[in-house]
Amino acid sequence: MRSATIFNFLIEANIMASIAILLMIPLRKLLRKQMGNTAICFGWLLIALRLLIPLTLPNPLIHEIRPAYLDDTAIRPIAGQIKVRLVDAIGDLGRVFWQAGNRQAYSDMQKVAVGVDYNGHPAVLAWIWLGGCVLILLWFIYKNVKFRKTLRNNRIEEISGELKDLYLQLCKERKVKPVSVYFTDPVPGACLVGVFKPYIVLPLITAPQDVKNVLTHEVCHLKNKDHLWGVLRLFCCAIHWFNPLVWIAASMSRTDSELRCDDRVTGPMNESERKEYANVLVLAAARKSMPGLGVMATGMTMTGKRLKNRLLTVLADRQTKRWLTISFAVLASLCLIAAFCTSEWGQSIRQSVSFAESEAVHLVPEHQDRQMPEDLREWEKELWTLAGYDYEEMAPYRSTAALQQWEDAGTLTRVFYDHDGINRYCTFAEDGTLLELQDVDVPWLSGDLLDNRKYSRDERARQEISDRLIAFLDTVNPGMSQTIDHMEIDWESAQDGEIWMQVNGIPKDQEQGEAISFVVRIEPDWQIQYFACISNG
Amino acid sequence: MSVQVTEAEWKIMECLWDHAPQTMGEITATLEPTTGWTRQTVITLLKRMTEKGAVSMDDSARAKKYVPLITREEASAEETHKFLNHVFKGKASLLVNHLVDSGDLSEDDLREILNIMRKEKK
Repeated sequence: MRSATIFNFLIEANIMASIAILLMIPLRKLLRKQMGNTAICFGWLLIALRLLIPLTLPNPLIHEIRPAYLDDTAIRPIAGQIKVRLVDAIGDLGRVFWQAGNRQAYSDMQKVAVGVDYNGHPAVLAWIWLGGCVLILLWFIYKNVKFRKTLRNNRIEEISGELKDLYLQLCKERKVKPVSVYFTDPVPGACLVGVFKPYIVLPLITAPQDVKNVLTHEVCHLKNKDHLWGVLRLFCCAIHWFNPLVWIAASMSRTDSELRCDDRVTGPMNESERKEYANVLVLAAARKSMPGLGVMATGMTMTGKRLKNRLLTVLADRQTKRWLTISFAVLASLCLIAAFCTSEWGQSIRQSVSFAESEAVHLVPEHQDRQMPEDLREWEKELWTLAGYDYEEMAPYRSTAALQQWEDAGTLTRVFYDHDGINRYCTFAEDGTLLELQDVDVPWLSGDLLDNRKYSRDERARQEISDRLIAFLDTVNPGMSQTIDHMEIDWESAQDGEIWMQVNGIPKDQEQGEAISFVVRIEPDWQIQYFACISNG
Repeated sequence: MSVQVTEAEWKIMECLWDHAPQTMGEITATLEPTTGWTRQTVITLLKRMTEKGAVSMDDSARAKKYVPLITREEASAEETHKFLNHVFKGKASLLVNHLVDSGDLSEDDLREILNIMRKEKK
């Protein structure tokens, strides 16, 4: 899977879900009484679906927000805006450093910006994201295994006799398939534990007069399938671990699940029964807090302000407005569908592109009449070898995207190469001539400029470099080679035993200015790290 | 070595502190009306308490008899310590302050506390 695919999914899911979470926070506070807890839980469910399902639907309008300068068409418009703005922000920060005279920081910022722009850093970020997911999942697993083990060790016995009869009667009344119920000591409070084979844990110290209410509460959790909601919350937090709003939403939805459960428990109760149930909640709160967010168990207890609100809800005479509940459900469902509409409609992508992955590289769009060299891979191999790279080592992944930013030159095609997170790319004209080659790992940016130039003063060395670059140009762009009068070394820089130089091709027609530019690593070995035909730009 | 006693085990300890030794049947009969615990529940708890050294079992007679191995004072001290640490960050002064502020202490209680503190000071 490409990092662009992950990037699209995470950016889109988090933006849409974050907006929804920010709307849900005041909504649950202001309209809980009118809409009811079931409607609020439904809202959380829709947000969870947006966070977890990597679905994208076509949207005829989304094309409008695609950034004009976005080479990689695998990045969809919303993610593209984020990417382009991120690169711009990093670039701006780099310029601030430049103005402050901090060349090293400027160089570092440039590297980051180039890395983000050409997928070097997104690949690294994708690994960091994956590492975070694995760590969070492992933490959840550890917490659950530990919690389950403690419960198993503290288990006293399964309920029996009259109590069991009471429990079975409750299940029958609430139309729930009974699960095992175990007396346990010590345990923070009654809870429904597990996912595939859930069971109820009942504190041994539960007073006989409270048992019915406590069991009813857990049976209603079972009826609401709250043990499965826990799994949804867990996956949302594990996948979107970097978004604090998702964690806040998970915690809020857990509270709302409890309140929804209370609604179900107290629905058929009269006022005195409700008071009795409220007393049980207060006593449960006096003991200990509910299990942590990562534990696959419902908890009956709440403390502080949340308990106060809960008691008020339990004791209040609730009259939800049915029309409001239905309107919310319909509107929220429509919003969910809209939140999935993030991909462009049909072929309306501005770059009119054939985008390909892996081995399926098509450099020439069908409408073009001129042809690339027949054996593309041989051609690429030849030019990269001439530039001083090992082509076999650097092509585990490639993608192409046609460009229009150089409109005078027709539809150009850029090919990316990813090797160990370091990206390189080439830009080809329609006939396959090379217009640009760049290794986006740019150590030469941070090299120290040499006042005492080693190669510029040595005429023989200068000639050798010039001949070699002309030979390269003859092969990759013969037309351009004909227009060059001579080569001129602009600067030399060095760092950690490496020496680089910029060499510009001076055209025969001086009015054209610098037609081509190279950055070449001379030591320890020959490598063309940057090449561009400027006149095309 | 301190023995940790759970809330449920505490009920059995209370029973044995009031009167020991007692058989399992006697303990069940005492606790059943207030807790609803069955004989099996009491068996499981006593087994666990024997293993952790809170009670000992005398099986010389036909009916096994249980006696507490820790005194009420020892267990109370342990629980008070846990409670202080958990609720008042280990500071007894905060606990006293809370009790005085809440009005839960009678004048007699206060006088007794002062006497204890004076004795401790000497």
